[in-house]
Amino acid sequence: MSTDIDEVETWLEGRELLGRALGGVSVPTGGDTAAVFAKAARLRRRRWGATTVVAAAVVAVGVVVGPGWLTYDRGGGRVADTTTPKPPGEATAKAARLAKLLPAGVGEIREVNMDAVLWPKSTSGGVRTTYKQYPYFGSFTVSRDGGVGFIRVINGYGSTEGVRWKNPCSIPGNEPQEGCTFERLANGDVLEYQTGMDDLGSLAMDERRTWGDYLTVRLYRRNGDVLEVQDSTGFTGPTSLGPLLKTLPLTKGQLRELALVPEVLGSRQG
Amino acid sequence: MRGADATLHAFVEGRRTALFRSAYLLCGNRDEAEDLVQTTLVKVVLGARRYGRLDNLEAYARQTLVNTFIAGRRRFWRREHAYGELPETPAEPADNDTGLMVRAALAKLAPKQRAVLVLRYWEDLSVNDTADLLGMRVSTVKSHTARGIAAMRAAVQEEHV
Repeated sequence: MSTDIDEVETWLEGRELLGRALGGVSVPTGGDTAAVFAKAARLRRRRWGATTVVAAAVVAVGVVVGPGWLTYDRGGGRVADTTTPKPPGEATAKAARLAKLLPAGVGEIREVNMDAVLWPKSTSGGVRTTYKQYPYFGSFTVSRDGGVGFIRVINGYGSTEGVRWKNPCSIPGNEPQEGCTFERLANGDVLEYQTGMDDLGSLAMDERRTWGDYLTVRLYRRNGDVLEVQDSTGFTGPTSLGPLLKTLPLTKGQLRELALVPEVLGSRQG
Repeated sequence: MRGADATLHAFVEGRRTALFRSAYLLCGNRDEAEDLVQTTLVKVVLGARRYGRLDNLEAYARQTLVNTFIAGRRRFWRREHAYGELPETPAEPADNDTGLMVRAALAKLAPKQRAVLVLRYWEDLSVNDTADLLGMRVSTVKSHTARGIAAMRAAVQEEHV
């Protein structure tokens, strides 16, 4: 009996504390229900194969927009440069190191703060601080043939009991991810390939930007290390880096090779 | 409007605010919570239409919200943080200090621990239902709950010292 009372009291306390955590937060009034259904309809159409048409339209827009670039000065401010076709980003040592790992012909590699590009209101400009233990962690623009795509290298670690390592391309209780394939390497690690933007949450929802092709590879190691490398032809709309690339910066095979370079994986211990 | 669509519309209209509260407790950040709710609702609409999941939209939405939150933290695309780092400290307009302290305590918990607290105490799910939804053992839910509430208590006591 007293156990039941304790449980109820604890529940009330937990509820009270969470209620306080919500205190002072204004709740959005209403919201755009139409936008939810419009987005759902668009995703459904995309899954049925309309992507090619959209991508073609995006390329056309990029051509019309012309050679003006949005580029970054050292202070992180963004300036429109319509006279000199200068690739966006900064020529950093990290970008030069990454370029050496990539095959010839990939394009010019420069480092960029994608957070500042994508969320300019909440992120200051300039490239990110390098993590000592992860020498390639960061975002890089890839410029070639008049277009600008990008590569993002994101290191980290999860639980060795990680759900993704055991169940690539799916989370128990969820639908299997569309556009996802995986391979188990001989050493037991898992490489997961995901095409498309559906997993990118608010970015994919942003009506103002149109995204090109997207391919992400994730390496899940048995010791919990995780490496994610994103490969994109870019995007158009606000803060666009430039016209879309015609093809992904790296092919799937090239992306796989990059993800398996030990230096790119890094080490938690530094 | 067909019956199924009308049900979905009514659900999206009616549940957004409640979902936002749970999302805010999970994320600790208003903008991110709004994004999470929007993403969740789109997934619910897609899933409901594809699989005819209209019988229990509430549970489906709750599960989608939590899984999307956890997957987002795992995938970690939203911001360039290293895995395992603490999320950003919640930055909201000034409100009561206790609320801030509790939010800070929540932010220090692992995403799944936070999810357990929200499901148990805010969504009022039983231990078993929480375990089912998160794919955890019942004992794990209990330990996450105990540690989570201890962390929140400690935060409040610290604030009152």
